[in-house]
Amino acid sequence: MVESLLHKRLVAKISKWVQRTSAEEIIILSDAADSSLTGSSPPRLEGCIPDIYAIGKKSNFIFIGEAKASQFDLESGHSEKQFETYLKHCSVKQSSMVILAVPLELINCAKSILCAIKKANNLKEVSTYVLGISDLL
Amino acid sequence: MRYEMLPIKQIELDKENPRIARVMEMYVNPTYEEIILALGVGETNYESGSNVTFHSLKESIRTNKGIIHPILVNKKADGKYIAIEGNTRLAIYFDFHEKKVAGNWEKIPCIIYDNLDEQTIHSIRLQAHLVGVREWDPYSKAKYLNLLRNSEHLTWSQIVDFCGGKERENRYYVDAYEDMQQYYAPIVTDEAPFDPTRFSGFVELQKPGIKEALMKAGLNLTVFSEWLRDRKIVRLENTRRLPGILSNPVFKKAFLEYGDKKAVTMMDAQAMPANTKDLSLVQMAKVIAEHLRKITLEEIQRLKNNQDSPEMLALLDVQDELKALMDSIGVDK
Repeated sequence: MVESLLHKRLVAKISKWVQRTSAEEIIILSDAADSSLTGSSPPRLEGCIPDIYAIGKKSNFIFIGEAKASQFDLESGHSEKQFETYLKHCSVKQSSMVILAVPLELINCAKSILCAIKKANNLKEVSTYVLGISDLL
Repeated sequence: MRYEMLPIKQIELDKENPRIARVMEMYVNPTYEEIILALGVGETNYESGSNVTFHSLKESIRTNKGIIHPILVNKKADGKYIAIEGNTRLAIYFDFHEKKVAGNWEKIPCIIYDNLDEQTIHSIRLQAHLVGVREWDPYSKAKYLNLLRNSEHLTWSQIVDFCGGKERENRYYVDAYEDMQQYYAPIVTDEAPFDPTRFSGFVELQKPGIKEALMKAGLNLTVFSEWLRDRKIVRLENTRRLPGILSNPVFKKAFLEYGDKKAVTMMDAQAMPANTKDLSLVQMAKVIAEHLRKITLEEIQRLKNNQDSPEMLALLDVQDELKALMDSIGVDK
């Protein structure tokens, strides 16, 4: 229950960050129950559904956001598959980005995971961002 | 609410305390000795495992000549003082006082509440025992142990008294901390920054045979650190499988190409008898549980004396996997 509440809070943080960062108007798709967004679900990408899927209205860039509330979840095989899928999905659209939100103590762990997956799959050019302390407070 | 040093003889142990309640169910009118026994104060077999935490608390109180956090006491309308939180610490004071242990054990630091209602008492007990304090993560603990050992120059015996645990475990932590600073810290990058969650890999590295296996394979601790940084080793407990991986060309190749999970899966598949490979998880769990129930005292002693044996490594592996599964399901015990 605690983890689920934390997950919701992290998804909300991604949503805020995406809205604040985007230079143009965007459509945000999210399943978050308390979402004040469009209400539409994010698309399923090779069997994985991200927490946030945002599209730029003009330039069609994509922001994919995923929240992980625990180290166990962050390091699971399922998460690895999700990150790989999202990175590949973003690699075909310019200016797209994968965004991760994790508890403070896992920020560097999340960065290392994304770095390793990008390296292993030749996806170094895809932009990634792990929400930092200031984003989470 | 006020702070006071209360004479221990004025305070009663809380018979509603879950640990004491166990005994209350077994005895009609438990004696003071039976209650003390329930709290574990009278136990002397500290090496039994389950009592290590209690032993650490007792030795920490003995070393510090007292407790750091006051116990919580409820002063009832009839003037009686009941310990609602800190019964074990109070019982240790009773024990030290009775055994005339050096120090002043007649009075104990207390936060006194006046006539608390049941709901507030429940709330305090729950916060103290079910939610509890947050333990330091392993890296933070190691950093502090390193400070005590290498800056404050405490002996291992003093460190064990202050911090609890076993000497070997504390040594592993300090050595692991030093290795991480020396070999891992210099190779981190902006993209893969210093990640304290990798620390347990360095603790595993201290166990017998691991560093030797690396050296034997012509490798060094910088290479090992790169494996951790680049997540070649994801499951940190797999560090203890490195001797087996590095000594076999097939497993080594799988490890270097795909990482620890692949190599360990291959090793385990090879080691498993053909007729057990088709067992379901439930069937396998039942077989393991049955084996554990039948384990003899001689076998336990043998495992205890050889904690780095292949059998112990296999059991630790099962323990880690089971704990990870239970954590993910949300089952604590």
